[in-house]
Amino acid sequence: MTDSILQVRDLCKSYGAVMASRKLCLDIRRGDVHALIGPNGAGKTTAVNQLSGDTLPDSGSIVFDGSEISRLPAYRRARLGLARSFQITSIFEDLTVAENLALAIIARTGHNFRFWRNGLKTPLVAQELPEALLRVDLDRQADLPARHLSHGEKRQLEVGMALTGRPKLLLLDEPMAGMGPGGTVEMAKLIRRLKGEITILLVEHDMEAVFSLADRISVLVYGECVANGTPDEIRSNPTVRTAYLGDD
Amino acid sequence: MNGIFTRKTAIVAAVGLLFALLPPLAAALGQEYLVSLFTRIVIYAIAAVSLDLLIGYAGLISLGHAAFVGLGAYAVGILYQHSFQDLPLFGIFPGSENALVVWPLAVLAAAVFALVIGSLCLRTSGMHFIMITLAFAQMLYYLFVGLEAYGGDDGLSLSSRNTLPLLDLGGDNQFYYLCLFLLAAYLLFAHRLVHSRFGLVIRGASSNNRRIQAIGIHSTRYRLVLFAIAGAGGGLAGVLLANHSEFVSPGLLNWTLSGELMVMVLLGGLGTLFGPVLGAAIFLLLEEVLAMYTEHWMVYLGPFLVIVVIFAKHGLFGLLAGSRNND
Amino acid sequence: MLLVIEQLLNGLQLGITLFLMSAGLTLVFGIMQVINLAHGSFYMIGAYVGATVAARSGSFLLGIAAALSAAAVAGMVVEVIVLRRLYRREHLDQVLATFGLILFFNELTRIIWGRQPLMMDVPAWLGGSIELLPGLPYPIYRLAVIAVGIAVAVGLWLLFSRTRVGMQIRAGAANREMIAALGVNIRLLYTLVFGLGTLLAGLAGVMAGPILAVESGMGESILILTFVVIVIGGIGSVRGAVVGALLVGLVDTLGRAFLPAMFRLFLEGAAADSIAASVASMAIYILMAGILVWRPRGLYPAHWS
Repeated sequence: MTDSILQVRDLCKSYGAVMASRKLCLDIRRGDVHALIGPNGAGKTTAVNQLSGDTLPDSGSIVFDGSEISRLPAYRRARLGLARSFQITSIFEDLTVAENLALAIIARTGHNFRFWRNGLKTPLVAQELPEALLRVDLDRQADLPARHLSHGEKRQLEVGMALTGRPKLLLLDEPMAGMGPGGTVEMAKLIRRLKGEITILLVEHDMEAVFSLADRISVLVYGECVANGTPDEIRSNPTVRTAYLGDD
Repeated sequence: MNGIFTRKTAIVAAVGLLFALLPPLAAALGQEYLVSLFTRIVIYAIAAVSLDLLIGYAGLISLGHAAFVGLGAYAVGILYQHSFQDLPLFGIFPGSENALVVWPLAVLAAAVFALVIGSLCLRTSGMHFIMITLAFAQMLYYLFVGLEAYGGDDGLSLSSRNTLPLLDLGGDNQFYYLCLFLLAAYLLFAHRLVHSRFGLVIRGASSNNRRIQAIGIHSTRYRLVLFAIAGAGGGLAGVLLANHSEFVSPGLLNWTLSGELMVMVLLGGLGTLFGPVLGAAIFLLLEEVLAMYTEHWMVYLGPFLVIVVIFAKHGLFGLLAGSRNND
Repeated sequence: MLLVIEQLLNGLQLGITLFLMSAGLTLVFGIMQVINLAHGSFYMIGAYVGATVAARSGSFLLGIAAALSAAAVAGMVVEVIVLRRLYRREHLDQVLATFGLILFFNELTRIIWGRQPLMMDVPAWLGGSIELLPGLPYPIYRLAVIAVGIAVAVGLWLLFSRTRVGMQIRAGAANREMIAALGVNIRLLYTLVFGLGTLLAGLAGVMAGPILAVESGMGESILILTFVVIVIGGIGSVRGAVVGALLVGLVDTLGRAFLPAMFRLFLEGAAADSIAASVASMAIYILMAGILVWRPRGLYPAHWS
């Protein structure tokens, strides 16, 4: 357990009578692509939101890279190296692609009270922007307002923004949702490229993608983690089969 | 894109030239009152540009911008009165008529007030924000209406403008050019600002505030600083208005001024820095022309506004220049 | 002590007026998600029409009936012609268009009634005072205003808790999607809610007529107090409007009445009065700021975000 980057213990969150997380435990090993799956309404997004700080848990602990973060606001967690993408694409539609990435780059410097020099010409941005654009294959669209990108390109931009912050852990909430087959392949390629470089928690419905990409898989049912293991172990786990069969 | 660019530059250049050559033009036409009218236009333009930083770039719909204008103006009036009556303010601080002392203080006062108000208003968003900015501005209005020591309802008269070494502010042309210079400087500053790192954060937060938190930026602090910068711009406009008319009254704090400034921003085009300048010119010229025909010009202006809002979304600069653009 | 009771009643009466204004407006905010700056204009229309009809006909009740219908009809016409086009627009557009409406209505009243404030008489049958307690006479008219306000509050409560339409309105104010889910004719419901809001504003206006001067622009000073009430109570909450209106009415009235005496305890006369007057005029805004720090969404926040 020494090489785990994230340890979640007994996380609880309820909305009225609905328990979205019940004593949720989770361990993510450094360097893994760790998938979180489960039937609709299993509380996957709620779990991700609690990890990222968009929602605060009722109780329980989240230890990220050695520090307890469960009560920290989202922006503080992001600075510790925890980045996320949203289930519904979340980028700066009114800004250009380059400005989107530049914002992500300058975000980790902590203070941006610089009022005069053009933001895109900041040394740090000038140094990293070209590579950041190439990494997500958007260098030709750099000066285009992000609202004009295709759906798949917006997704790539979003992941690109999460990556420029050099996160230690990347939370991807259904990165392939709503994409055509072409977009799905592009995204899978991108995740495979990141594998080993960065730890990823992947929430995804596309089972084919999950089983081909993930090193480990956790299964969530009614806010509770019912199984953990490698893709092969999960495939043959009887509890998982009933949970999924029971839902379908 | 290129055609729009040149058309836009052409408009900016033409309007800039008109502003620069106005005093000799007015003299040639024998219409000297135009200098005074255009001084007002230039001053309102400063206030409108500063409001546009909030509305157009930060997405913060402040309906209380008159507070900063009025505060800047009252700072001039109050310091003038204390100097004139030789009565130190709070018993220690002597008043002043020197622009080099008064103007920075007045602008600072507006910025500090903006920081205080902003730290409260920015706890909210949406409709709450609109109502709260309006309410705090109105608080200031009632405060000054009640301050009998500074004229209460009737306001304060200055017997002359502030003094500045080398320039004679009493001369209408010199005062006009000073205002024009300050407008140009504020425009340049605002232009750099919206493209700077700070501006990136501000525009990003306006576009998607949840996302900006997710990448690790605490946007409220930036918005608060912008609120103070815009407040300072409003304060500067107030300083100039007080000097221009040599008169300060609670009317400058009233919410109708906030509304009018917002109208100027919309008429000119949101989120364009030059738009509000055009908007101020159009609004004040329209007022001037309509007022020549009828004292009830507002009965026409009101429905005109409603129609503009419903049908012309990007303002007149947007209409003329072809598209909404970010500078 | 008697003075305190008298001022409490005055505060209650201001609170009632504010409640009539804010109950309608908070529903419009909550249900249609539209910020309407022109709500004060309907208050003004109510006051002007009421004062004029009451003076011409000699009947105060006829004046009230005319004021209510004028405010309600004007409100529904404005909703159909202008507001309806703004429901899906940004708040900024709503602010600007309704600002245009204010300019229009204020100037229109100047054209019709001139710049001189109109005086409205208290009807003879509500004139004079009664002695509530020994040594405490209080104007009957003001008591009547308080009674009408309480009656309206009870009526609204019955409407919202006992009738189908009322429950739909309340559900819509608390959760906008609910209303569509209930399969209600939304357009008609919106127009009716707006008309109900402006009718209440008109009632507040005509009842304030004999107490204040009826003049162009009178709607805006009350509008801003109404905003303070709604910010305190929470957008979309009628219960919040009741609590907020009473708080604002009492704090404002009691502040103006008693702060000078308090300040005179440790300052000399003129300075104390001037500072007290300033603090009193700021009291409700300080109250609002305090509540904002404590509860940014108001005392009774609705569920939508």
